[in-house]
Amino acid sequence: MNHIKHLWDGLSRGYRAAVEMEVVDLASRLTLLALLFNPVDDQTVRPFGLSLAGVGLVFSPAARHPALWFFLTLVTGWRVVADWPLADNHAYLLCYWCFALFCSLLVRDVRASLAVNGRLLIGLVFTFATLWKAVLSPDYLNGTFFRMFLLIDERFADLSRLVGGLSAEQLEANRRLVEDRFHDVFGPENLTLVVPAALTTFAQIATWWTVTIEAAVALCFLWPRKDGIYRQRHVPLLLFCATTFAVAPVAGFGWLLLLMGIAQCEPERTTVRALYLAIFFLILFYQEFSWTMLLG
Amino acid sequence: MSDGECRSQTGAPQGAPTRWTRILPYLPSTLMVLVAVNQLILAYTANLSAWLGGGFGMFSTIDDGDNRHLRVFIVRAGREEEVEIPSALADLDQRTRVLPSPSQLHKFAQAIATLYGNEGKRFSAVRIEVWRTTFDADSRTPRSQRLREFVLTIDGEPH
Repeated sequence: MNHIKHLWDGLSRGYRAAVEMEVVDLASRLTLLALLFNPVDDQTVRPFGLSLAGVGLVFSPAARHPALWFFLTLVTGWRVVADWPLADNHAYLLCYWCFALFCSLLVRDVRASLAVNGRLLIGLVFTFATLWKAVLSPDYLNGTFFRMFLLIDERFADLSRLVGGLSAEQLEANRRLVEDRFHDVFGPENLTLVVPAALTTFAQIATWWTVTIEAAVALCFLWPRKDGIYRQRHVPLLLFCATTFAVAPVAGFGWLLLLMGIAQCEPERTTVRALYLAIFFLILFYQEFSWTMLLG
Repeated sequence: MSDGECRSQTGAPQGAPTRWTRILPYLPSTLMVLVAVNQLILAYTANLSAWLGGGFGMFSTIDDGDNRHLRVFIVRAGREEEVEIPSALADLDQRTRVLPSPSQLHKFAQAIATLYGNEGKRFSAVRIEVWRTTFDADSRTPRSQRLREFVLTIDGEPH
């Protein structure tokens, strides 16, 4: 019984230490952890990125030094520039965030500066994402994107099997038909794709859920006054991260959004910070375990 | 800095905020907006895929580059012959599909001309077509659309 009490006390102390940690320390350490979980995707600079992240975590005063973040900005920026235009969007966001940490550590009120950056970067990411989905894309709101994406993207195969009841063979046949058509521009006008009604319904729900939650995050984070919906901004962001990264295979993007969320979280809102931390690690499990395959 | 001057935890001076220290917190988001606007401009002027380029248009369209296809033709004696894209150019092929700008197409055409030229083939021009396949919302009928065309004469002058 004593062992259990000791364990419980230890866990309680660890929890309190994490949620009550100074917000700049917490955000910078989580950034370094995210850099180790999801290293910079460029062989030339990856060893530098990993070494800098390791140094920052082991020698904690280094994580509060602008020089570390200056070099991490160079490393993450190099990946974006050298791989133009193929770098994923979260590679850009990682570079902006390292730059934000560098800039913030140069000013007097580090916490306030980092909070401004977290808020603006999250608000802008979701504004541009909503703009593309709701206004600029010709095939998002009509449901084509999700319907086709669930049929042909291998990364979503387990989900398509779970919600649509498609077999692996049917998915493979669909994928081959569509990919062949991409390469044969004068190919057949009718593709005999297997598209269960449940998959079409799920695609429609996913379409509207995604654009609605992204618009809500954008609105809450860029709300000009610090009252009303601004106070509720953590809810849509946490909801977005807990649901989206369960199926979207871009854990690095999820971790970035969450640690930026923590950076602009009011120090007294320890429960909210605990939720950010919990979802940060939940995404790690999403990445390592295919729950859709387990359920299917 | 004198010994008596106050410094922050990170070593930054703690005097009155200068213009730079007021601007610094807004630099990352300004950079982000500039890159995203550039991506929007390239998407409309050079058919950059919405998924790439730092504009946060991922998961908004099926047009992610994989649905695009390059057709390459070698022109000799006034006749065209469609040729395969050599596997050595797979990376350049991908970059050209997602951003078929005139400069990228020129680079790709030159690489094709060099590779086929090295094989001893004689030709007067390389012509490239960029195609995109989209799907009808309800019937899922595929539609192919030619996005761009580029011609490189053998002396290197684009037509």
